[in-house]
Formats: sequence, structure tokens, C-alpha cells
Amino acid sequence: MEDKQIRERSPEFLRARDRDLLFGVILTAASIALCIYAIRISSACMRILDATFYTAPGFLILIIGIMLLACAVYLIVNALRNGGSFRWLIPSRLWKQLRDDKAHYAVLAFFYLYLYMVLLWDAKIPFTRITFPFWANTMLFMMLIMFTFKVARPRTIIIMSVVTSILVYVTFKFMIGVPLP
Amino acid sequence: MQQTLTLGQNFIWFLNFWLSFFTSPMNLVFMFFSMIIGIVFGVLPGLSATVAIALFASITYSLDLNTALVILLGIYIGAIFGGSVSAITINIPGTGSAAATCLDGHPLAMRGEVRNANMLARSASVIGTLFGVLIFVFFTPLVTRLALQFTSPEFFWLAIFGILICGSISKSDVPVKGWVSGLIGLLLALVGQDDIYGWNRLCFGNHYLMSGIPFVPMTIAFFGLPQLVRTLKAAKMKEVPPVVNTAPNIRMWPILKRNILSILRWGLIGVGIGAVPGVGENIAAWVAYDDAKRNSPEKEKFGTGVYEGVMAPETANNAAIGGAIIPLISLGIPGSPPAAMLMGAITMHGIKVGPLLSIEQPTIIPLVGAIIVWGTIFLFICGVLVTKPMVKLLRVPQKVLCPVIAVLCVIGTFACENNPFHLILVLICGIAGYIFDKMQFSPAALILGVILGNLADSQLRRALFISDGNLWSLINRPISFIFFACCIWSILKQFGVFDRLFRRSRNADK
Repeated sequence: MEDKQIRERSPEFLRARDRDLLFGVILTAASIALCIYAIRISSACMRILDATFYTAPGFLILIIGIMLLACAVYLIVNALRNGGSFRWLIPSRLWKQLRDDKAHYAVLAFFYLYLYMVLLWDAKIPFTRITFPFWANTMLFMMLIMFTFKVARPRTIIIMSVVTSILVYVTFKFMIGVPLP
Repeated sequence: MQQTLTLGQNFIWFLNFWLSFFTSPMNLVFMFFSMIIGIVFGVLPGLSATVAIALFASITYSLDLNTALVILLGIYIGAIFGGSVSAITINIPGTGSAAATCLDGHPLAMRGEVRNANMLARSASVIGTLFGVLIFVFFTPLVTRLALQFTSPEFFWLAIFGILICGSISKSDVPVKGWVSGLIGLLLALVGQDDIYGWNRLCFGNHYLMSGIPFVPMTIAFFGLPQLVRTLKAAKMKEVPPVVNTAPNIRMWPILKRNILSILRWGLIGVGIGAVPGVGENIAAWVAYDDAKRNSPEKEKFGTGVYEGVMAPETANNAAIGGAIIPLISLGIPGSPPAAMLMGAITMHGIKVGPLLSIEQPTIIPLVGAIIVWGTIFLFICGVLVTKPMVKLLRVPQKVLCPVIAVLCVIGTFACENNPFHLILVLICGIAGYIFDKMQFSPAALILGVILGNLADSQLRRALFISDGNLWSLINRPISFIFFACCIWSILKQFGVFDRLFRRSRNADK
């Protein structure tokens, strides 16, 4: 019992309730929008294709929307009863928390993944019509991410990037026959 | 008209498939390497059987079903075992299912018995897997025969029950979070054209979404990418101290003989819990550990390095593999998150799992059984060969491995349908997955929702169409009523209603 009380007063527990509260509010808005969307597509289908309400394409979406709404309300009530609040959304506190949380590392990691995927998709070598080959993209991506996060010494990073990208290319392209981007 | 196989025919096909491996050395080679890959994924903390299967599902897309199953089941079995190596060596479970192994495995290693602890874990895993596959081969046809009686309402309630079970998958302290994940998964499954009218749902004008959100990119996004980012964010990884083996080797046979009845019990626990949709290997391991402790004459020694404390969770978590595949093949509902990935991979090969599978593909049960038996043999061989190098691999900082896994995620995503749009999709879902992870929403529950979504949608609408909108028709058959009651029970249990009732009646008695 005492353990439970200590846990419920811990900053981690309170932070989780703060997040629940925010998520609950967003989920409430999203589930209401979902219900409206479900009714709209169902009524359109009933009008055009002579469907009934319970066989219309929006029927289950409507049920999901209502269930999500109920869950969202529960999340909000539960968060408020356990000390959740919106105080952490004050810009100064939010900034402090983001810095503590190393959120910028996550943003950076996803940005590098975005670059990698976009380069793979369509990018061409400047002033030419030649697209970047997969192995070159992979090598660049690996170097970029390993240098940024300082995962090893520079020499190790370069060797690892070159070896891995060539190994992956040869293994998947020629040995397993998997199509590469 | 095709029929399901009898028990005898099942056994003959099982033997046939098992022996056919001798004439196809390539399958043995694939099994060997997939087992090693599985062990590597299991050993590295954070990576799991689910991530491994999600990554390799699309890579096996171009291969025939037999080979794909060899690779994926090899990875599955290897990863579940691999978790024990890091649990014993560094006291960090490589997979969730090995968490219980830490309790007695690591004290054994600290006592200088690291080799003995690994040997016990390996033997228990082999026995557990074999036990699971035996039950799978002989029990699945019976469940399938029962499932063939199901009509639309039963399937609908089964899908809903699977989603409600999400509440128990969720590690969060708020059970509703598991349901929210499951419902969002259900919603994602509805993206694309609907089955009955061909109406576009939740596509928002994007023609790429009309065929739905593909399963593999989504699993990679929700399991692989958040793990990568989490590892990259970690400021400092735990140093792995060198573990020295000083104790003499134990003789396995007398220990196994002494515990034979307990091993059978742990195996049954593993299969039973593994077969419950959504529960999986993790809980099986903990329940078996608890059982070993309760039935031991030396209860107080548990946690200080007891052999049974290693054997019980390892037998149960590997036996749960066979258990988890029973509802997957017979009902189309996976028993655990890795089984959910496996189901997605099988579906990619154009095979629709569920009760009709045993009629359309009657030999699938013996085939899977034969592959798992071969997997068990290779588990023993690879376990002996790679345990030592794996301990060395644990000393490589995980951050170094992250970029390599990121590249594998991209290849896995693209290889599925060669569609560059999936890369963008994986990135968007990856960000969503990361936010989910931060907020303690279970990605496994979401994936279960995705898997069950279409089943729930089509069967509900079909049932209501047949009954002319009569809601009573959803619960007026005995089996559908039982499933409906299970759903209500699941909801009430998650909110602790039964606990409160029992407590109140106990207080009244006093």
C-alpha cells in the first residue's frame, strides 16, 4: 500500500498522467471527428449504393469512434484524479522538459531516416540524371548517424559504414535476390 | 471436396515433411543461419523475436512458403532462446520472455556457473519447444474442427475478444491504453476499399492507401524504429563485465530425470498460456517460474541461483511457441506478438489463416510441426556453437548496431511490394510508434488490432446483413454467447471488478 502511494507521488508517475491528459484530449477530438466521418461516408453510401446503416462502410468506424471516445474520457478522468495537469505545457517548462528528455535526439534520428528514405526515393546526383545508388546512400546515412551520435571512433565509423553498405548490397541484391530501393 | 486430415494422416505427413529435410540441404542451411540470426536478435537487449520476424518477413516474400516458414520459425525459436543468454550473462533479458530467467540465471553466472546456466537454459528450451510442437501437431486439428462450426457472429466476437485481450498485453498501469492501441490498430486495418461495397475508407484522396496499409511496414515502424531511436538516445549503455566460468560442468541427465514431472508441467503451462490470444511467452515464463518456486521444497533458495529457476521459465517460454501457433492456424488469431508477425508473413504468401486453412491447405499443420522439430535440433546445435561468441557480441555497444538495423528496416519495408510510398509510410508510422512508446501504449496490441480488423468488420456486417439488422442474432448461438460472455468478463476483469467483489465478500465473511 505504501509502495503504491510512493509510486503515485513520483515525478515519473505524474509526468505519465500529464501525458495521458494531453493524449485524452487529442483522442476525444479525434474520435468525435471519426464519428462524424463515419456517419458521412455511411450516409453517402446509403444514398448512392442503397446500403443499409449496419452494412454501410462507416458502421464499424462509428463503433470504434464511440469506443475511443469512451476510452478518451476515462483517460482524462483518470489523469485528473491522479494529479495530471496541463501546467507542463507552459513554454518555459515545456522547453526545459524537452531538453531534459533529449527529445532533440529523437527528432534528429527521424530526420536522418527521412533524408535516407527521400534520397533513396528520388534524389539525383547534382547536374546529372543519375540517381544515388543504394549502397552510396546507405554509406552516407550510416556515417551521418554514427558521427552525430558518436557511436565509435572516426576510423571505425568509416570502416563500418563502407563494409556494411557493401555487404548489405551484395548479400541482398545478389545472394538473396531481394529488390533494393 | 477436400477434408481435414485425420490424426493418423497428420502424423504421416509430419514424418514425411520431417524426413524430406534430409533431401533438401538448402532448407537445413537456411534453418542454421536463421537460427543464428534469431539468437543474435534475442541476445541483444531491446531487439526481440517480434522485431526479427517483422524485419525478415518481407525479405522472405520472394521465397516459397516452405523456405519462408523455415527462416521465420528458425528466427522465432532462436530469438526466444537467445534472450536467456543475456539474461544469464549480464542480468538484462534480451527478450521479455527471458525476464524470469534473470532471477536465478544471473546469480548462477556470478557464482562461476555461467556454462551450466546456459546449458540448462538450452536444454530446457529444447524440451519446451519439442513439447509445444507435440501439442501443436495433435491438438490443432481438434481446435480447427471446433472452429469449423463458427459462423459470422462467432468470428466477430472472437476478433473483439482478441482486441479486448490487448488490455492485458499492455504493460501500462492504465488498462484502457491497451484497448486504445487495439482500437487504433482496428482503425488502421479499415483503411482502403471495403469488402462489401468497394467504398474508400480513411484514404483521404490518397490512391496509395486504397489497397490498405501494408502489414510489414507497419510492424517495422511500430517495433523497429522506436527501438532504434530509444537506443540512440540512451546516454550510456551498461558496461558488460566479463563473466568467468569457474565451476565444474554439471551432468544434465540426472537433473532432467529428477525434474521430469515438473518439466512436463512447465511445458503444459507454456502451451496453455501461449495458446491464449494475446498473452504470449512472457507471461508463460513468469507463471512457470512461480509454479517452480511454489512446488519446490527449497522455496527460500529461489533467486539465489537455483537450477529449476532457470529451467522453468525457459521450458515454458519455448513451449509457448507451439501454443501460440495453435490459435493462429486454427482460428486465425495469434497467441503472441511474434506469432502475430508470423501470421502477417504467412498472409503475404497468399495463405489465409483460420479454420478453413486446414481444408484449403491440409498439410500446413504437419509442415509447421516438422519445421519446428528441425528448429529444435538446430537450436541445440547453434546454442552450443554460438553461446560463447554471443557473450562477446554483448560487449559491442548497441549504438553501433543501430544504423545497421535501420538499413535492414528500410530494405524490409521496400522488399515487400517494391513501393517507395511504403518508406514514407514507415517513417510516419515510426514517429507515431515512438510517441506511442513514450506514452506507454502497447505496439503489440495495435498490431493485433490491425490483424483482427478486417475479420471484425466483414463478419459483423455480414452477420447483421443476414439477420436483417437484428442485434440479438450476434449472441443467440451458444458459441457466440460464450465469446460474448468472455468479452464482458475481460472488460470487468481489467477494471478489477472481480477483485473488488471477492474482497467485499471476504470482508463480509469476516
